Amino acid sequence: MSRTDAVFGALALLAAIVFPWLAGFRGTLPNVALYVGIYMILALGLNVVVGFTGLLDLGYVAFLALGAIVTALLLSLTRTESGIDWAIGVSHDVVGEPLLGFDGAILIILLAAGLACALLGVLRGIPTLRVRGDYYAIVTLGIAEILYETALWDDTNLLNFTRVTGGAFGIKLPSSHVPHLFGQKLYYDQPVFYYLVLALVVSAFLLTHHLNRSRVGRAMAAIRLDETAARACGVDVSRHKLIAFAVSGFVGGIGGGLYTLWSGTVAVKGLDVWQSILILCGVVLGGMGSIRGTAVGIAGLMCLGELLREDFGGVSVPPEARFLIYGLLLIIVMRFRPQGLLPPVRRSRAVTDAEHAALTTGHARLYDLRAPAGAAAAAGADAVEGT
Amino acid sequence: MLVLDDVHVHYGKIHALKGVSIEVREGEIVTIIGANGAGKSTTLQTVSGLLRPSSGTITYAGQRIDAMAPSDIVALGLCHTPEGRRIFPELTVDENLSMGAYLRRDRAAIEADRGRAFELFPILAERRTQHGGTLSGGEQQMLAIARSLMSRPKLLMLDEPSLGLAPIIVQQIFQTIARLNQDEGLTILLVEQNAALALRTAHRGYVYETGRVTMEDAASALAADEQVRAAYLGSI
Repeated sequence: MSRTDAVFGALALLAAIVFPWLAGFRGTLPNVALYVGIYMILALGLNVVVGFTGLLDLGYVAFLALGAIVTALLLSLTRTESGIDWAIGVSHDVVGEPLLGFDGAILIILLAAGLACALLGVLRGIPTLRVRGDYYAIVTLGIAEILYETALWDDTNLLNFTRVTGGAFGIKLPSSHVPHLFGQKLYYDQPVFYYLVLALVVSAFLLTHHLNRSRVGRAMAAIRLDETAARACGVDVSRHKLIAFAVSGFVGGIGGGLYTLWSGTVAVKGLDVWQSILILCGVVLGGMGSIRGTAVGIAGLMCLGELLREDFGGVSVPPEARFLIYGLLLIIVMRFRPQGLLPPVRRSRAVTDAEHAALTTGHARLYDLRAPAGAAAAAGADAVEGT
Repeated sequence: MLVLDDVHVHYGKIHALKGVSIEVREGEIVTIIGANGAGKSTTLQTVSGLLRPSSGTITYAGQRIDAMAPSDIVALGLCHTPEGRRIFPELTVDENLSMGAYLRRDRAAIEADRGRAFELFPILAERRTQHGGTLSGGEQQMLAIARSLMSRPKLLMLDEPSLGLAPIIVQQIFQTIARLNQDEGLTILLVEQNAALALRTAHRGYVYETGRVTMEDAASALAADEQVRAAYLGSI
């Protein structure tokens, strides 16, 4: 991280911390901030696959949906007189205490949502490992659609998943089952919820930043740039793709869990392909592979979306037209700045002239294949010291 | 060092290698020559694990490698410089070299090898902060070889290193290949369209025809052979 990045990051974090003191925890602005924060987590997760590894994911909403549903189901587990039940039934009310009602249980539940989505990411990725990049996009799109349709399938004779997903109505979390953290209810208008979201946004930043800088991240970059060349360098391409899918899914699942807490209901109907497109637009606008770009891109897009809900002197933009405007924006950005608004900064630590001189002068046969690696290392150290 | 025994490879219904048996001994330069589509590149890709043989065995240093992952094969010291160079165009020369050393963690030795790579190809030192994509074809081929060397291979497999390069650059690259073999004891398996040059550089050679080895001999003997001269050396 460069110094400028660190300064900007610290300022942004400070602004996010003090923001509710100015805007309050209740009302439109803080609500939009939460909404932006949750989608920022999702976009950062998507960026791992799309930006770092260079594989197009057109079905990222699957993680948002699965994370949200897993969270809602775990939260709604209820201990009743006759055993354990889900308090999400549309047709029947369940009376009893939440099974996972203890303070802080939500952290475990979010972890479970993340892990479920990591598993989905891996399962979804496995069939694409033996084929080249483009198939991944098709498979992600297809699987997201299959899951979407399955979740809404209410044929009473065949498989019926609406008992779990609530079908077209969705799952509503009973207010008695809203979880607690540090003694406070995790309602959308509570400080503890705001700071939980903020902490998880920061975690997603740090996780993806460190991933990108790590050896694994270098392997992902190599895969993005040239899969064959990456293999020739000894990169285990399948393994690193699976890591990318798992991390991306995990982060998405956490985002989905927060979505449940934020909205209080999970309606699969609203979690369609357009959600995938929206998050992808944020990543592409900001600059694929760039963490700060992704954050800025998705935040900009979400804020624009909120603005478009407003009434402009009697003229309002119909919801269906919003994507027209996003599309136009995308075209403009791609025309004038195809790498995105804040593309990744190309780090290249050049060897300095002094180092170069030390490396290239006079020593005999450092690259002697008959010498064991240790001996060559020692010779290298000697040569550097000797100059 | 490397032994292929009756290796068959299929691309779907196409039978690309029909029972190839070749051997590379330590310290040798072995070349495979043959027409387009004879299975030369397929052989290298199969050895490096990018393709799987449908039958037959590949043994390297006494160990079966025909079911190993490409990354494990690189770790054993068998490195493939693929056809068409395949450097990372968006990475600098330095970063390309670092990627070549991806499986290694001995940092001091890596830096020493980087120095050695610059010694072998001084032009790369001048270009070290440039992106790979901005290099000329010859420089890219040098970078591709240098990147492979960064993995400290014991056996280097070069696929068409002369492809699309000016004759003077080809000369330079082949001199370096010979030097790596003589001075460093690097074993090299070389696939090359330019049969004359390949046979001049190598110790031994195999001639491929449509997925089969049709001749095997010392390089000088192959270069003198009437049939080889007529078919591949363009002289009678």
